[in-house]
Amino acid sequence: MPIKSVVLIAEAETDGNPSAAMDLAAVGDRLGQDQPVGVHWLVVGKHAAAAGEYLSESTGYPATALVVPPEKPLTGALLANLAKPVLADLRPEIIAFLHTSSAQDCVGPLAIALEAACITGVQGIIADGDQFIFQRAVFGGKWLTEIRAGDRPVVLTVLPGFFQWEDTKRQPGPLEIQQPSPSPQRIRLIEARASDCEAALGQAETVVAAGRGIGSQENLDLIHRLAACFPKSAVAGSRLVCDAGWLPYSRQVGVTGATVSPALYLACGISGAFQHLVGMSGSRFVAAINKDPDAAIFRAADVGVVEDLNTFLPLLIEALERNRSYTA
Amino acid sequence: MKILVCTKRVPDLETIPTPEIPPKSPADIFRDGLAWRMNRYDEYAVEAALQLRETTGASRIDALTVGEEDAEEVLRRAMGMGADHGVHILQTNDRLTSPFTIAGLMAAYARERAYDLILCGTMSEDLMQGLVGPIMAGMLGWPCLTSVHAFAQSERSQALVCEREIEGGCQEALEIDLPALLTIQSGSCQPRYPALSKLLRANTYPLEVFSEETLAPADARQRVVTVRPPEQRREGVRIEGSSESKAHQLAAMLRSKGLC
Repeated sequence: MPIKSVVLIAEAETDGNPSAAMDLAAVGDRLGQDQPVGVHWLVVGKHAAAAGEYLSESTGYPATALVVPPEKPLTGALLANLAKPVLADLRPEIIAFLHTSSAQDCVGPLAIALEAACITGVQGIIADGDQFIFQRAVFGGKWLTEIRAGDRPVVLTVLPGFFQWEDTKRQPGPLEIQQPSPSPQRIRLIEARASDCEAALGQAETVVAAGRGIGSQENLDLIHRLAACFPKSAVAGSRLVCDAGWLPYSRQVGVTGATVSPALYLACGISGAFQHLVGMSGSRFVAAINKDPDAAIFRAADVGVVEDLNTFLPLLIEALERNRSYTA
Repeated sequence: MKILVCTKRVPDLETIPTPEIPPKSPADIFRDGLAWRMNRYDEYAVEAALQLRETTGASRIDALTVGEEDAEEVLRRAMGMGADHGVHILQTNDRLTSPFTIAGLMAAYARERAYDLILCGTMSEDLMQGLVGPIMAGMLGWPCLTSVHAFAQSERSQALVCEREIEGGCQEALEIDLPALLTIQSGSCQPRYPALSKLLRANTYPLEVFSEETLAPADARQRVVTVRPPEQRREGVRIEGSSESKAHQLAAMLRSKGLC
């Protein structure tokens, strides 16, 4: 069986260990379980040299680091332009990015440039002869589809949290550092602002999260009353709830919001699309309440209750309050 | 400024069940009896186009869709909201059509028609790939930004300034040269609800209709081979009983685990 070439593309715009990229390293290992693969890092950004050194040492995969001058902030378009010549040289069959905003900008155009297939939001990989089948969620997480890319190379974005890196002692891989000088770009970063996510969300031991299933803003009162039943609690919302203006965006949990890992996550009327799950999958215990028995959240919850929130939450609040008065 | 908005007709998620047995053919998940409507993110894209026209006096807004005959209703809705013109690329498909095929048809229409801006929803609510827009941009050779929630004309001519949220709640402002393709995320505006009179009037407007063959279909490159229920990632124990009983059981369970 010929050795398949795999390139993992890691962004290195921020300082510090690129820990998120270890999910990509796990993808490299996963692909290598069934077939001989040659895995190579392509690390791009201001801090690519340090990140490339870390990744090649900790994973044993060789790395090419493209150090971008600090006056040229990395955008998806720049990432694609810088990656293209390296990829043309390495001719990989599989190219994997983390599912970031920059990656979502660049994978489509990159697939066109490389005459490749393109699959976003990959959360599982299955071997199929000398090919692979890639799994991704559809319909808000209610179904998984399995996609085959044919004989072309394939560009992937991989969801965080689905592939776990196993740290074993490895021989450090070689590192090559390049300093490209990017040409003027048609997309320019003007301003980057830090997260305005509420610190309270990250520190809370219980997060009570409201989804579109709460129905109306008036019902948020029930969510606040439910949160008040727990010490060190905070109220959060899905993107849909924040879009509707029922909660400020600083309370959003998910891909474009905060990532939380409380002891208890109470998901109320949340459908369970991966965009939300990515932000809460590290929670120790997840309880979900939703009137749709097929909601995807029940597959990501430790315990589930199929009920309408309007009738159920008052009962739950009463039961929790009674609980507390026993303890007192 | 001439704007093209790409739209899709999608089933309402709540009408999609998840039986434990996978369907024989992947397309069977689109069974009869589903409720259909315009993809929510596309409504935001139409609204963004209308608001840009209000502030800059864009000359024309066209709405485009690819799909079977029923897909026409999303064009009617877009015109009811205020789009000037509807374009329907008729395609008989299994609703799991490759994004390369859809993007190829849309790019074939858009090419040579001198658009300054193409807007798409950030993803379709059903297949959630977010690929048709970026692939189309690649085919046209245009710059592309995804998940933009607000944009306005830049001080520089022939450019827009776009705002978006990225990972971990961080925000970015980026400038993009026109012609450009943006995919629109929900957020800073609420799509208008078209008045009944406008919807009725939109029903009388002629549509431009193409068959896919006339637009030289692109290679699909990839194919959905199966659909299956997702794996259970946590135990997902269902609490059963009357509503009161479920409330007590859940409270007791949380208490026994020291969670309240």
